Amino acid sequence: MKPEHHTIFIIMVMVIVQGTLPGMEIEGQTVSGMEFSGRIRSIQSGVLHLSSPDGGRDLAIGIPMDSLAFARIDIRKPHDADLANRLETVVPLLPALDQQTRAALLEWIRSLGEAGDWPGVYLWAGRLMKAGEYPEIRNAAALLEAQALHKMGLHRELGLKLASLNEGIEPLEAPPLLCRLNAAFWKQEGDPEKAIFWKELPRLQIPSHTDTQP
Amino acid sequence: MTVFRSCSVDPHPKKWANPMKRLLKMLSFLIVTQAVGTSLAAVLPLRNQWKQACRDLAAGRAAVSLERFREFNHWYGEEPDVRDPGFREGWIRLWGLAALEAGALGEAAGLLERWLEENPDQERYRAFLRFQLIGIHQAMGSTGALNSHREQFLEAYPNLPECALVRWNWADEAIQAGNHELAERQLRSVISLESLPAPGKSLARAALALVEMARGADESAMRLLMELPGRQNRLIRFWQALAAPALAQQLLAAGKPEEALKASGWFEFPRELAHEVGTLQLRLRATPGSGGPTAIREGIWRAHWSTRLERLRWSLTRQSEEMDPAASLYALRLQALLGAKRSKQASILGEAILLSPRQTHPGLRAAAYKSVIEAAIALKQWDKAEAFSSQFLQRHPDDPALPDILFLTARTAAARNDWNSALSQMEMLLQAFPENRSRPSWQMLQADWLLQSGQPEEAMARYSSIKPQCPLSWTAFIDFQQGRCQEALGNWDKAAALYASVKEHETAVASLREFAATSLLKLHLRTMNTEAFVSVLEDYRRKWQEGIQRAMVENIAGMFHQRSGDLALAISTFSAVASGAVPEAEFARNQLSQLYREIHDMENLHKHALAWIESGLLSGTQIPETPFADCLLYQENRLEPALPDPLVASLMDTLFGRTSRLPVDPCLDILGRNWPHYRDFIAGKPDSLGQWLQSVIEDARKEANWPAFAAFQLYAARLLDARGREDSADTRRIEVLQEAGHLRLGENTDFVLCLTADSYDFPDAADKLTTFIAAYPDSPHLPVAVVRSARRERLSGNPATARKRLGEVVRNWPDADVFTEAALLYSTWAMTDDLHGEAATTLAILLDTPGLTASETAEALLLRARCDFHSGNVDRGFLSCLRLLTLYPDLNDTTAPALVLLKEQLGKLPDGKELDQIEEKLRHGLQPQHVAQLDFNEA
Repeated sequence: MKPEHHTIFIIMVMVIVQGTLPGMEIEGQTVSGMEFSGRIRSIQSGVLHLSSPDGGRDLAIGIPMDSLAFARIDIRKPHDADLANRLETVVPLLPALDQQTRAALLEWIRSLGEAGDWPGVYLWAGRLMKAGEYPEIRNAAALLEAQALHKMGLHRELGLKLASLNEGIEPLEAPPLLCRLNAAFWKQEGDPEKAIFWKELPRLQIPSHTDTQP
Repeated sequence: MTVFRSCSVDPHPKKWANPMKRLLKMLSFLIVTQAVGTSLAAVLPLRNQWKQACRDLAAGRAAVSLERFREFNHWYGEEPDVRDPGFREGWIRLWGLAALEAGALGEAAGLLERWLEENPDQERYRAFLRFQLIGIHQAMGSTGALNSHREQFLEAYPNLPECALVRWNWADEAIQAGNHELAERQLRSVISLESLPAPGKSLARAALALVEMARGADESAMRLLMELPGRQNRLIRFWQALAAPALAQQLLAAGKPEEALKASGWFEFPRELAHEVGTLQLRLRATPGSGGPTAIREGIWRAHWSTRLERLRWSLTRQSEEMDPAASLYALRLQALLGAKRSKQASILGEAILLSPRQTHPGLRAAAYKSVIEAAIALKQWDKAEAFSSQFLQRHPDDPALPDILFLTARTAAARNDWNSALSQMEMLLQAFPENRSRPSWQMLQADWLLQSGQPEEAMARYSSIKPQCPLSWTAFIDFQQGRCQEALGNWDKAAALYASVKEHETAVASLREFAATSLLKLHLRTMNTEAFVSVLEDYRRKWQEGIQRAMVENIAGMFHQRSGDLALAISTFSAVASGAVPEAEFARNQLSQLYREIHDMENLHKHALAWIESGLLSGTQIPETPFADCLLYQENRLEPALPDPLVASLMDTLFGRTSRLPVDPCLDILGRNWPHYRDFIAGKPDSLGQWLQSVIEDARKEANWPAFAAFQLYAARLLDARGREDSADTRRIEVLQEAGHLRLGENTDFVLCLTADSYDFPDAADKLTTFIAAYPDSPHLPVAVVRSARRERLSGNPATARKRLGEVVRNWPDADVFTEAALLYSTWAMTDDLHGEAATTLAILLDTPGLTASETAEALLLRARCDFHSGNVDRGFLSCLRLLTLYPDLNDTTAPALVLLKEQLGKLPDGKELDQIEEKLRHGLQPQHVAQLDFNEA
């Protein structure tokens, strides 16, 4: 929940910053409407510390997290190897990230899966789900989390996850990945009827989905 | 048709002209700029008026510009400078274009025609202006001038890409006029233009596909849509989705379900597609070819693509407004799946629809129920069909689809040969819905069921009563069915006459006439009427050279020759069928095998078997046991290896890699019986079959190749059984169950595993049996599986389900080995459940069955006696006991309870003459020790 009052708790400290700080570029707006941009220095005690260029010098800004209306981080392709480490610093910011950033994050999580980093997928998909808002992105993240469970061989956990996913969606609208995960689960459970049901379903839905990779 | 019209016929002709106007604005600007630069200096006195007209035209004020051109003409038209050809050329051209842009089409046509006439040698602008004239005359509907300009344009500039536009518009015009042949010709010319870009070709092919659909050439439409170039082009998807519903419907109606199913694969929701169409416009801006003012041509093409895409978007929107896309498309897909015999998929989709109530329209819900039930009938999943029928009747008793579901319920009963239920349900349906439009077809089916249930006389009468009410087109079919009734009644002459009349029926469909000819042949085969058989056979071969029953007829001919003793002719006839790829080839191959065995022609038997095995390996189909059994016979008979070396290698690969395609046991039997020879062709040359088996079992286990693992383990178990080591054999079977019991490993393997699970009380034994029954509805092992499953149901406290299942065996498999066991068990359960009538009926059938063993007969007699005593048929009860004790006095298992029963029943009889008579009979008929046990009242 964002605070209802519009009091600005922005502590502006003028410092001369020597050199460049590692971190991510961020821009956004506070609940009071103030726009900001800069490089993240740290997030400590509920305050986002930025360094923002201002007339040849870097201006250090501190913004309380609960006063953020939204924030946007530039996650560009191709994803570099250090991205995971840099993203770790922005985990507390996830609930404030806008839809575009979350969609980019989802792409990155998918790329982790393509690279076989399923524990990474599980960790980040879970974080993205918990960040709230944007149901489409949360659903996609939940599916990725289930896929990660499947890939890591956590069969029982996959079953529990699928039970909750299936509850919220009717089979005719089930995404192909959900169908394939259900098929894999029931095959493992030794129920060929259910496994075939889910395996065949995507190509019977309208529009038909013909890819079959689990 | 709706789809075709909606996307191909111009719905708002004026609207489509707008892009052309926009284009002309740009075009005029370019031309005006050019004209001002070159000609103004020559007409200085007229400068202001001329300049102003040109500026207005360039600024898009076409009406003002036209007015100024007219004034210019009025004031200066006859001036020598203006009449100068150098100035006049540009003046008339711009005036004409201004008129065109201002919508004064008649004036524009006159001016541009005048330009063409006055400047015969002026090549510049000529193609462009003629192209514009085509558009003007098309808009004005001046057919003569239009055709003339079109022909001249196409003839003079055959290599200009714009020919595609001219032809395309011509096709549109032909479509509107309903001249599909002309439209097709023009669109084919468009497609053949090399300079047309790939997306443009896709559009043209799609448009042609719609024309083909409109003229009923569905398959051609299908091909065009399937072979659209540029797989990545999303435009293709839109066109396919747009055409698919109508195409699928037409193909289904034309009896082409496979093609309809393909078309149904293109279904998408039109509303979503319509939103996406806008994103495609940019991709189609590319101008084909080169040369000329690029911007102008790009503009023309952009206008063309934009028009096409706008029509597509409009059609998709209209399609989505006209129907409930989810309901219609899913219902159509269900229909296509069932039509193409994809029962499993139809069932899955039906169930998915029923599990998605938010998505489901009541009409679709009924369609889904019907699909699931029909699919279950096709898959012989009777319980499922009945469960869904009851669910529908319970949940939606007021649904308009109720009669259809009740009909399917009756059909389920008929499919499982439960004729009593089927006929009574059909009778109820006919009474409850006397006005239903399906009534005539229900009645026809009812008559057919009467015939199939062994009541030909009633069926005959029913057909006779239906005949006067039916359409004339049904007459031949009713005659054919009555022929079948007469045949069943043994009135073969009458049957032959009816079949012959249908065969020669002038208005009957060809397939029915062919069926009648085949039935006639079968009848003559039955009666061995040589003259009649040969005559009909020759007639058939003459008339139905490509007949759908041709292979079957040749098999009938083969059987006729075989029975006539002409074995050489029989062999050649069967050989011709056996060499084909038709389903009847299997029958012919079996007949050939039987024939060679009969005449002890080992060489040909061997050759035939090898050819059979090789063709199976090549085609990748499942090979039956017969050719392997023949090879084994040859090997035992000739004492030489039956399998050539290369074949052994192929068989080894198949056994390990694609186990389910071969009958493992007979194949290994051949190898095992001549192991010293075959071991040389097997890697490692193992000393014995057992040693080799153990190694391949281990290999299969390591590779998780469970089908091979199971097959080899079960064969090893069989060898152990043969050596009397049943426990070790079962240990292997249990190992297979534990390792791979959750997989489907093929009919025989799964059956053995089911029996093992059942015998050893595995927790999932009941599920395994149920799964086997559902997975292999045509298996010869089915009766045994059903009996075992019924026993398990009974143990689980479901007596009704158990009895129902067992009843299927009693009803449907009187020839099965397990029939007697099933009938005795069924009778026992029926009596326990107080259904003595059912028990009595079953026992009557059982006691009439030939080949019962002594103990089986004794048990049946004892049960019948119990049944008779219960139902008050005391005399027959005593007689059954007497018969049992007299005929089988040594079978203590039945005599002891029979004596107890007798004693009990004698005790119930009041003293008197009847009791005395019975006791007297028993004293004389029974053995002394039995009499003693009965403890008669000597007094």
